Amino acid sequence: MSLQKNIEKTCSRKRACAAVNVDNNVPDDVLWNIFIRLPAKQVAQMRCVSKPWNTLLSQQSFTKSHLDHRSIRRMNDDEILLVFKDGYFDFCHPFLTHPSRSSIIQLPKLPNSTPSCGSSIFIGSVNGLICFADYQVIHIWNLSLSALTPLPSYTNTTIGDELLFRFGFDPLNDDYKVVKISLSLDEHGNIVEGSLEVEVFSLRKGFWELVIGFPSHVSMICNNDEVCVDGHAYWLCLVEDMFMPETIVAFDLAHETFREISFPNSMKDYKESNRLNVLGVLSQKLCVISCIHNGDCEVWLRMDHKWVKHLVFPPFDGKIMPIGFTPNNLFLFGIGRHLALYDPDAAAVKLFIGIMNTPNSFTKVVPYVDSLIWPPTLRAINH
Amino acid sequence: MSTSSSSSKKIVLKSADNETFEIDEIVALESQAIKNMIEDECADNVIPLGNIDSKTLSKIIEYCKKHAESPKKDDNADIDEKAVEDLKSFDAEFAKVDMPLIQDILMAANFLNIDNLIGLMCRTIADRIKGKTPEEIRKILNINKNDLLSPEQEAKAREENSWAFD
Repeated sequence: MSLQKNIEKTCSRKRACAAVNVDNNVPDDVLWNIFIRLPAKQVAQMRCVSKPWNTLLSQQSFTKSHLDHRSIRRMNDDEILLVFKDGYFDFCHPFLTHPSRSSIIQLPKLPNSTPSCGSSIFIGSVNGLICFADYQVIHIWNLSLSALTPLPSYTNTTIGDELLFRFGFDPLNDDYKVVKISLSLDEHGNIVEGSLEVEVFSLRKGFWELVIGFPSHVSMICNNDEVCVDGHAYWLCLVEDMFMPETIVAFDLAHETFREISFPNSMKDYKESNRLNVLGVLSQKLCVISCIHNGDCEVWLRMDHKWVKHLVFPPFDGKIMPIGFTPNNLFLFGIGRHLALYDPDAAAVKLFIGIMNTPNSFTKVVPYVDSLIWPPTLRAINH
Repeated sequence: MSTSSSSSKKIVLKSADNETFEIDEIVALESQAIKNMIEDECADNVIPLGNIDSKTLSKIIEYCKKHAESPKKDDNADIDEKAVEDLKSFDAEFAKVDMPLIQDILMAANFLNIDNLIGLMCRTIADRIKGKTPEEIRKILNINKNDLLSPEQEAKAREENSWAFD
């Protein structure tokens, strides 16, 4: 048997064996390996280069590989974070977590006029898609592709109703969903019984649908922490209970069902009334960040349906406003007039001077993700 | 498998233009395809590589020699940082060749299944086409004219991604 045949046999899984003519006949898996390293916007343009490239780059699976490659690389690289002060777009600043060693990274260019400056409220961000509301119209924006589309309007909501939104990814159906809660408040700021209504927009289906089952004993929804992770949207809520007023409502984005998660047991001892609790995402899991005024900050992680006390931070120099974790697990918070980042491994705090003044509980910080994701329904809506 | 006993064994590679290269087996083992052949005991002393010319093959051997000599990442947690830096600068120098040779090396590395080298060549090509327009990319990579999109197909691809061309 010829040895040439042998080599072809041993590497028969690789298509190269068939295409041994070296000029220009680069096999798909090799092209794929080149393309995932390039920025999303350029990849979108590269569909025009040739027929084989067009076919390859039109595949959904390529879009996913391109995104996965970014999340692997992010572990070694610097992170770019976008900041929305007060949750508004006019304070959308990109910045790097380690500016000193980042000469290679280019910050994304924001459009000259970011979508409706000053009136657009940030809702959520996942896989490079940013969702925001502009005068009750919901928009989806892919910053890296400069693609922007409004969603069809939802069913009429009574004027004066409060509107709360979440934007999340349903990995089970590979779908993105916007969850809208409308409700009326009484003079004490509590939810008027029977006024709460939930509607969900599926980017795959392309329309809004009513969903029932939001726990009816919830008297207040704290809406400062837009947390969607692991196929669920979460709200930190208050119920009328002397011993344990806080609860977490979870919405399963795939099955569109609600359930409640109680707070970590040791937090039920509510003598420390100076605690400030916010929900967050750490290592792709739900977490509760609980800060005692002038004291420690505890981070509880939800693992296998149980709460695990994951981290304890020593007191910082002053009153802090916990914001959340970056994808590289750095703790982001406001302190005084500045944003700050705490690295739990190095136990070091880094202040960002001049990024923005006075972060507050509405300040949103999201990672910038270079992404090719642009669901087909959004193209259809646009045309 | 003991590598120390086999390190003295020699393998001969023969290029498309009939040039022969005698190398240590340990160097040849950088290629997963050759490694599989040796393990399956179907490799004779001379391995003909009818689709790789001698210029490309000598570059590939240069790469495999250097990488076979360097300590592997998974061998030991304490790798000498100097060795890592040394290998990095070797790779950077190695990739400073013209595009046709890069493509030849990539195709050959893919054929011989040398993972690190495939990665290095893909990174190099990606770096060279980064920020370039489709027209420039066609030129750099010398894309076959028969593979170009028809004007209608190109218009469609542009329209579907119109936002990307702003």
